[in-house]
Amino acid sequence: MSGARLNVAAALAVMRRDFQLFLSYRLRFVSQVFSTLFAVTLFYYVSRLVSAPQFASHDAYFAYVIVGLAAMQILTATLHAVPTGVRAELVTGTFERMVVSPYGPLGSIVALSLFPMALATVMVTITLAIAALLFGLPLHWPTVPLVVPVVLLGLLAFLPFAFLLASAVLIVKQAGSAATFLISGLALAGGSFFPVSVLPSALRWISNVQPLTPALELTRHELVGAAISGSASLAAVKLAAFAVVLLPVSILSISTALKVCRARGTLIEY
Amino acid sequence: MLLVSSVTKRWPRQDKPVLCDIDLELPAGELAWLTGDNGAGKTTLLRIIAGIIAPNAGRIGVCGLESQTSRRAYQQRIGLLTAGSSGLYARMTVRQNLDYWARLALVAVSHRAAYVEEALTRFELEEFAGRRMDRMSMGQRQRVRIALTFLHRPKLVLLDEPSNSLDDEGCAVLLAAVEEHKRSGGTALWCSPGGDGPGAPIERRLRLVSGQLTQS
Repeated sequence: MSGARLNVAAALAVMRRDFQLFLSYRLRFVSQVFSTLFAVTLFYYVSRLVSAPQFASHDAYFAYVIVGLAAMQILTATLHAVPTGVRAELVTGTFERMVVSPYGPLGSIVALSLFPMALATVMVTITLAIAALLFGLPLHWPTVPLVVPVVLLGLLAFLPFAFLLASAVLIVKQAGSAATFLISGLALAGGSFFPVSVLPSALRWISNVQPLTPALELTRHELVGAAISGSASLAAVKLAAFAVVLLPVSILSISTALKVCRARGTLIEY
Repeated sequence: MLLVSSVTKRWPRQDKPVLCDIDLELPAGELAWLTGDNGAGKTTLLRIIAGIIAPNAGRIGVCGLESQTSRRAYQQRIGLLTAGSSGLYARMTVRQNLDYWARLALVAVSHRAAYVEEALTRFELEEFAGRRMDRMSMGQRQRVRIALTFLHRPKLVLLDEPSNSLDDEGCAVLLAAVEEHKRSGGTALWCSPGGDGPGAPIERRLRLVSGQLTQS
């Protein structure tokens, strides 16, 4: 078996392990589905109250906010799961096993993102299904399949932030509050629940320097046929640029954090 | 098999090094017993050999490989059993823990199932294979941890207080595994603070005192 195939098998083993642990809590998935149902219902009734010039109708805001909610599910899963996963491995002593494994800690940390991303993708599908089937979310079927590559691109653009947070966990051993701060900041500046145009002009620039805004614009465009501020291809290029630039930087940051911790002797401390 | 040359480790903000200019050579087929008082640096030395801690100076080679230049091949040749009871996934079964480690250890898919079965048999874990770790006693968990250490057939096993929590039968299983490891050309470094030692014939006794290693 080639080294590359063994690497893939090891990465999938981490994903499989997370799946096994997820399944060991039998009501976890059911409770997540119900939480999603309640969230969609909540935003449906909130949308009945929204009358703003940015939205042609209550349903237009509902479509807007549901995509925001779905994106936040992916963002939260990615940004929270990797650093908290590393932290959990440190606390249970299993990170030591990753460190001494031939697969290694770098690959293991990257692989920690696989199951949360897969689960988030499933939950997003359920969110959209609930919104469409129960509350009449008008999906733009001709371009719905294009959402799949957009979500994948978005994941690749969000992942570097998760890896940077994981590096911080290795060095300072805690990064949960940093993840929450980052997610809240992105939700505020990215246009998840309200258009960026209502932000004070002094804050609007933030929407251009993070990947959530183009990811949301592109997803809304493909999923519910919403208008896009630039072109769809420009938004896709922006997302790809975030991924191409930040992914190597973030992986380098994990590698550097591992080296620093090895030298300090703090790699398996928590 | 194991070659430690002039290894020094100094903790930040501490004047005295925990390990000072350590030299050690262990040939194939040997069991060495490393002793020393609490805090003498035994675990630190094991962690340096295992690639968890980087020394300030010196080099470590296992089967002629160095961690910095051939990390994967180096780690494939090492099995580490840490002191304590950590390193297991509590909500996974014994078999799932072993299978997961086999994959992280990059055991070829054609050998993986056989290695897992062999570990279950060798460490007398067959009847617990489907049991979750958090439903096992400390001694049974220690057997699983030892099974993980030997599963991928390393050349050098580093055992930090391996008989902790083991009953007489568990100790016998452990010693049999170490003996078999030696017979197959492997090397073992057994670390414990004192007492009567591993309970198996040892080829050399090492003692860490004030950061210095003495051999007998």
